[in-house]
Amino acid sequence: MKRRSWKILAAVAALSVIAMAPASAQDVIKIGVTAPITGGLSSIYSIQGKLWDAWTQAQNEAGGIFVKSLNKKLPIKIVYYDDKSDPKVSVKFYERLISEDKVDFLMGPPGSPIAFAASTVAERYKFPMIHGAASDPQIFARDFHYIQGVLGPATDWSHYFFEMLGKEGKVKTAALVVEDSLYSRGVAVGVRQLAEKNGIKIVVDQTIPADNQDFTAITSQIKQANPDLVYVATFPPFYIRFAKQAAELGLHPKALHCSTCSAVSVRNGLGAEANGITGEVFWIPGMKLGDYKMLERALEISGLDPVQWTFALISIPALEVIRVGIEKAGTLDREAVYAAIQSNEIPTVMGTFKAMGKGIGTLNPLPMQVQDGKVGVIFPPEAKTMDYKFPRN
Amino acid sequence: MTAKFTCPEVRRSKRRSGLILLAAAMAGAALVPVLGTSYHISLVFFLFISITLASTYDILAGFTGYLNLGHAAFFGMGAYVFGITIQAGGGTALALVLTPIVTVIFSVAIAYPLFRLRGAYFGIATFGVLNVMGVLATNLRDLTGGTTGLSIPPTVSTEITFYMAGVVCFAAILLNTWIATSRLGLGLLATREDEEVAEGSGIGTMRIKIYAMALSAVLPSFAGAAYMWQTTYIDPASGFGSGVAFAPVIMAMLGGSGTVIGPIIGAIFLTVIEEVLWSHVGYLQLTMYGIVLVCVGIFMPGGLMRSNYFAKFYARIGLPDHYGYQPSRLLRIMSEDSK
Amino acid sequence: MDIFLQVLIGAVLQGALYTLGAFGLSLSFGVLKILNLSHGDFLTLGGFLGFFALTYLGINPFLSASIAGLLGCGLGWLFYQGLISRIVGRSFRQMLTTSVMITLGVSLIIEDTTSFLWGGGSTGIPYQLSNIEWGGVVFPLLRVTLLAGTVFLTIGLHLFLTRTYIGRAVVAASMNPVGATVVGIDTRFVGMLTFALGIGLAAGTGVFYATLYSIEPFMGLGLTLKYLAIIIVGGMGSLPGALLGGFIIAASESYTTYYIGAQWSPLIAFTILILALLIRPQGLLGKAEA
Repeated sequence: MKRRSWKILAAVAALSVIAMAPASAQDVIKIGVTAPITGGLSSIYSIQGKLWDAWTQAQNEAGGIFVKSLNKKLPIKIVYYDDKSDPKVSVKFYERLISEDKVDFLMGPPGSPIAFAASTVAERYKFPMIHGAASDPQIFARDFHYIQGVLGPATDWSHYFFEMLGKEGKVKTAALVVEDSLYSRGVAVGVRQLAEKNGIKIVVDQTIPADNQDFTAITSQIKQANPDLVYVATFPPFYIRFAKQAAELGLHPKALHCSTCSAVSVRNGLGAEANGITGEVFWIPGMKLGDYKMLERALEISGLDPVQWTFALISIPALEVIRVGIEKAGTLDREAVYAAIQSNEIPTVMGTFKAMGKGIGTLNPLPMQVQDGKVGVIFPPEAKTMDYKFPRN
Repeated sequence: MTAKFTCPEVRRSKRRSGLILLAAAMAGAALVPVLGTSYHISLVFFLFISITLASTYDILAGFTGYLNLGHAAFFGMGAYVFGITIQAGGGTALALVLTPIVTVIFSVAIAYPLFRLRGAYFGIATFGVLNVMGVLATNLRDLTGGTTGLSIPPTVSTEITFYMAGVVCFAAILLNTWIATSRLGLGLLATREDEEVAEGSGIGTMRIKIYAMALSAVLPSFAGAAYMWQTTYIDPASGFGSGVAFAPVIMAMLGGSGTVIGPIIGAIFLTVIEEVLWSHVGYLQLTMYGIVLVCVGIFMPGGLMRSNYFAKFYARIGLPDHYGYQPSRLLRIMSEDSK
Repeated sequence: MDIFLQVLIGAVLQGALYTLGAFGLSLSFGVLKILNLSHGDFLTLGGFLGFFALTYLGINPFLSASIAGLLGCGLGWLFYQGLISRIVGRSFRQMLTTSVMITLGVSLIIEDTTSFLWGGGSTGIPYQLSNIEWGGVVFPLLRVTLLAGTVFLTIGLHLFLTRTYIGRAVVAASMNPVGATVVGIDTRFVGMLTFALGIGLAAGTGVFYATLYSIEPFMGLGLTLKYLAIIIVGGMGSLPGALLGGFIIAASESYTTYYIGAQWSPLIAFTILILALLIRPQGLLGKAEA
């Protein structure tokens, strides 16, 4: 009887060892990250893995990253896992990336709640983590020393847009509809400040659950208040529902803005109604900042539409920052590279990155508008590709 | 009243081998932080939590047949109470004391009205309660941080939370074993088979059901506290979401609801599959997970532990027969003993 | 008063859509006692079908809803044959747990495969009809048509269940399967039919859902749970009950959103569900448990 128990134990132990066999070490620079490829956030990140594979391919085609201490160019490998939009899973995989896969650097996971949990792992192991798409100020308010984001705070999300509105002076009142999620709330906080700064009065201010289906009540409220601008801080699924019902119920504001709308999914869902909608986008073809050729090549390989997947693109500047950090530090030593990142201004495809203290960065999206099926950047003057049209129709 | 019942199926020799296996597992688990990497610690930590949730879920589901689909609420409450207490400056000790107390009070409060329902209705109602907790967590922003979540400073080492989770997990296993061999368990099993008859035989079904619910709430709350202590972040989705809700149910069903080992095996099986799948296969992981569920549902409806495919294997490695799966003998014994 | 009416109209129209979605679930749970957790995913599939039909073939949603409905019936039939038929004969408690497992598994498979093939991202069907404005209240024509369709469908189903032989067989099988077999009803066939019908309804509703809202691969499970709440409130196995339940939930959500605040509306729906279960478990129009 006793022997049989030992047999079971041995079998279980053997299975566990096999299951946890780590990948063998290689002569590459490994960057570790998780992404919500499935689950609640997958509507904007499901292709993230594909983009990373394409970018790695483009980078390695060009030879890789030059490391002075080894006096040669090393190829990159991004080791990524699907965290299923679940912070627990992300935490587990980051532990694995650090201790099993033995990556050289970490990127932060897209999605603010996931990044919140994952950043604790980085801080605990004193492992520098560069965050891409997670910009809520609360993540960076914890006095952690090992996390650095490339984005400016979420509260600055629409600052260009409001600056433009302030300059034009045609919009005087606004309705603010906020989806109840970490990121959207952060954006809304900023919107309230920016509106005030630019002379726009907010007449309706509502926060609504993310899975809300019926927008009759809020639409009626907005119709009554009749503002010039309707600003919706949310993600595409919520926005499509809102915009469709608003149009149905006869709400046609002169300006309609969605903080994350990507023209393609909006266009798919809204058809002709999508004309004149403004939003924010991080990068569109035609922008010539940073290492844009690499990004264009990656988009070519993966066949992805940069406007539709604008959020997924935010990790590209994070990768650029890591790369330049390695080049400037001349070594793969994490502390040295991290120090280099903190002390240098680094050009990226979305603008110049500079560490602003407490882990906050400087990149911000640019306002865009859909006009007759085409997407263009409308502000600031040095980056714009089309003129802002107000009222939209 | 003082005689303690041992389920007739459990012969002493087989029981001893079970205890030896348990002791060996405990020793192995205690060595993980020493011999393994931080990833192994994290993996086994989450495994402990899964086993705790699945086993305590099975206290109600397996023994009484009441599917408490809102079981995860105890976990979420534990995490939130712990986090709120620490954030309010209460200190770890107070947090660890408040967590089980608040959760048990909550469990008893919902038990009274909900136990009037049966079968699928009970399951749906408890799931409704779980969602209500989620909505409350989202809306009571000042208390819980809402969708922004609750965050506490990372002060504790992963080893300590690992051992805490380990203690909780083994406590859950021992709790299940104790119930399986006690009069309480006998009463619960009788309730499962035919509640009216049990009531008629003199078992205070309502009382023992509530007792079982309260018992099943204590350990998940500690698991939640350990999780919060370790991860330092909780939001409504992590504490009360569908993922947390269905996982223990699936694990218990997969392994074999109504047996002590079933939920443990289910938890281990699923965790191993997840690790193997998700680390080595890039796509369609959830699809494979779903296929596993469908196959087990069709071919092994009683769970892995009761599967005819494996019955011979189980006999050969000396695993005890499933506890309490033959009610008529138990009921006969019960009535023999009544005054 | 204007706003009150507008919200009421909105609630009625919303309720119609809820009912359509819930019917199918009511049928399969009422007759087969199977909790089909993948119901919402067939709705999503229908929505995607409608999307492709409009984008690539220019088929309008009303037509593609019927197509989706028929295809859904076919899929439902396959689903039944392949999976459900294997567990129908078992004991009640076992059926509950196994049906949860199997349908949850199917739900995950559908959601994940759809996400993988579709490439992610949410979308909707861009189809607009004009609105009717009447006394300051807007009646979106699309929804009015939907309401009309739902009422029509309810009457049709009701007639089917009470006037035709097969319909009454379905009712008989749901009340007492053994008794039904005794009087010569092929309960297996009836079960298959009901299940297929339920799934077909879900797929058809999905097209309308995509036209009014947005769809994405992972939304199925949440929808299923909401429809479950609706049929419980209204009464399991009762079609007018599903209608009533849909309206009640829609109205309470809309009014809560307007008067109290949108973040509390999910709470209202679940509170109503729990209260309904406690006070009247068989639902408002359901028959009491045997």
